[in-house]
Amino acid sequence: MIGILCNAKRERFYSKRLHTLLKPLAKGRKISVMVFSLSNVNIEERSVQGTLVTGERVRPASTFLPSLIFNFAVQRRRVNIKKMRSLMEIADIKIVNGVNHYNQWSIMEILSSSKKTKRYVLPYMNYSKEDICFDFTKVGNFIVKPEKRVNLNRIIYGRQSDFGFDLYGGYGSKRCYRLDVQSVIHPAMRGKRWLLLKTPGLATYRNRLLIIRANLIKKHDGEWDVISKTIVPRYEGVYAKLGKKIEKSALNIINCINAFIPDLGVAFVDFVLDRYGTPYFLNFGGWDGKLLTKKHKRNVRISVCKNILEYAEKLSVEEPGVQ
Amino acid sequence: MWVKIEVVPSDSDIIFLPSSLEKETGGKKSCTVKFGGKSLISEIQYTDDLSMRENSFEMPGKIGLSDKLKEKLMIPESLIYQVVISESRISFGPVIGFLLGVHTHRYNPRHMSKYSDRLGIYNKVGGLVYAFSPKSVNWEKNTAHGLYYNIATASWEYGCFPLPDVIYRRDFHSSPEYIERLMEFTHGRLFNSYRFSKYQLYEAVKNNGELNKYLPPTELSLSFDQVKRFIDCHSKVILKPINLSRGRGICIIEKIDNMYKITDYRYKQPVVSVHDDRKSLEEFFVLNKSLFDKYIIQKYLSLARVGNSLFDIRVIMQKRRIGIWDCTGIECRVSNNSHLTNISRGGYALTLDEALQQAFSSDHEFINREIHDFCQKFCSYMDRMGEHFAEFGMDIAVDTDKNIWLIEANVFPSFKGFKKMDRQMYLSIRYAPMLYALSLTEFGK
Repeated sequence: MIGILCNAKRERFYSKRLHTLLKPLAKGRKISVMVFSLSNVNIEERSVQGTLVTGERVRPASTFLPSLIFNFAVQRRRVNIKKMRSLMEIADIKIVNGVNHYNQWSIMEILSSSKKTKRYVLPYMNYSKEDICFDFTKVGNFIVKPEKRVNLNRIIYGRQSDFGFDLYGGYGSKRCYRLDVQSVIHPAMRGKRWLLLKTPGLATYRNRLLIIRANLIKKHDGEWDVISKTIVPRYEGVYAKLGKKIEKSALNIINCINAFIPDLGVAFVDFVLDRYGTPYFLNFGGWDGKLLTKKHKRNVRISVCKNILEYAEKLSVEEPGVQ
Repeated sequence: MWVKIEVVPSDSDIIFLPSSLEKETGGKKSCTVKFGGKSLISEIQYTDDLSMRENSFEMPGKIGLSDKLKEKLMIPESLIYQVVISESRISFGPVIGFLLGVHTHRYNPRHMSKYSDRLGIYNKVGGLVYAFSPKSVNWEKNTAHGLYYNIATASWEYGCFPLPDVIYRRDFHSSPEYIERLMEFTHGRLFNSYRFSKYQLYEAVKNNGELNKYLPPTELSLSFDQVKRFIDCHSKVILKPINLSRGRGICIIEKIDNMYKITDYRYKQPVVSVHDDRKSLEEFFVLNKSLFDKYIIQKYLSLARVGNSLFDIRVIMQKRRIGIWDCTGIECRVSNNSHLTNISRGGYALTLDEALQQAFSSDHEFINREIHDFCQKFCSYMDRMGEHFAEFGMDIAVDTDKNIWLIEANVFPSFKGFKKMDRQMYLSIRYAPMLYALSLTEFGK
């Protein structure tokens, strides 16, 4: 049995979606999927309540904790983070993607440590509310983004112009005098730590910064595979030549990160492009909440499910009894 | 011998030694070069361009490595190494590893900065000091991804390194299989290899005739009848969770005539309740079944006081080298008018002399001696348990009759009180495991 750990609100969605996708895939395989949220996990008793998805049907069930769990959830509350850590510390349970939100500063430090991935990292520094007097004209073009979480709407790209800066945010662009940049950035920061990246002139698209997301899965043999390359947030496709470039860069990046964070199984990497189409690293995350939605093509969703099943088969986990 | 590495471009595995070292290698043209868990056969070239004069940490000599050999050995260039040269082998090191837990996403340079003060004696240790998770070990290549301390920038940086010569365990949630494998790889040089729970410690020490007199009566909390019997026998008892520390989750029960007073510290503010009879007490335990799950019940000791406050003693015992234990720090933790002496729960620290003088005014010298004597015996006994220990934080209590009692011995103690009380002592406690690690390698001999 495979476990899918998700946020409580998404349990119904994932159960239904997985049932539809698994139905044709699970034929001839005796594999069932238990979808559950963290609040329904009893670590002491090693049991869980949730929704059991088999090839035939979907039903509520109570079982032992599966020995292979894919984490599709993001834990934000302290008590849940602690519980998740305890779950990860259980020796005989393998959790894929124990965490889905990563500190972007750590990721950039990891990438900077490797010769292969250093070239994707733009010069960066920490930026906090104390930097109220920072003169952005010193860096030229820049990106500011939150250090802790990936939120495309909160990434601001500033392109230097004669007037000051053209700022591209999640909700469009605006022209801004150089001394007014802080008045746009600081309210968005909400007192949190941010990162400031010095960039070349970057490509924009539909009045926003052009961001390309590569979604990756780790196959059961440990090799990573890029399953989609799309322009976010609208999930439009990219042309083949650029796609290949993105694919190669994403694989270099994930192999580097995976060496330091080995429990990854599903991930995404966001890139920005300069005027010549050179990709630069922007964000890294684990499970992409949109991966099983219709924003992605059906073959992408199927390959995610297929991979989950192959994982389970490879690990040949024992089938615990269902109560 | 202290050296810095100079990288020389070459397609072959070559080590470039100053001509002055030709005697030490016996003039050989090739030998094994070792760095941590990596060993490679390499060609030796002697050159007059490299020098070994005025050799010290501050003025290290220079040894050249071809870039190919450097890559294969995974040796960071910016560090200062100790080198041991024999006729058959040249060893660079030491390579010391901090073994962290399984939460690999949390280990970043910011997280590691709490370890930086341990590197205050880097000029005595040298080499590569890095932190890694058992999850990031590659057993096929005998390497690990982790964060190393770069003395040149005084910061922690990511990298991939050969498995260490010595491992200092800093987390106790890893699978025992990993630990066993690492123990085997390092030939037993993984220290603090096991963490006892409170009850396991009690069980281990109670078998020793010399030490068991220092243990307060203790039982596993299993059922109401057993707990009630224990309370009736000892009048005042304390219930402690087996796996928690810092006074978390404790509960004190006192029998006053036929009534039972319970002070429950499991909440933010202690909750006091009085139960008139057995039935009412039983109801309390029915509502709090967790007190029978991984809890011990212990006789509450009538501790000596500093003024009106209770106090206990934290003794830090650390190994200098194999079999030699030293007391590197003692502090008395005085409670903030509660039953809890933990610094994290509002207590404060005093020196042992200050506390004993205030508690007993005179005739306290022998208590001091007895504490030291007991701690030495305890550590020697623990060395015979089949694990590799090098550090204990021992919590000792002194009762009003001047008897000493072992409350707990923790292999992963905190030093908060020492940090506030005596910064120099705090630092020497932090340095001791590094020096012990060094003593286990060929560079410490």
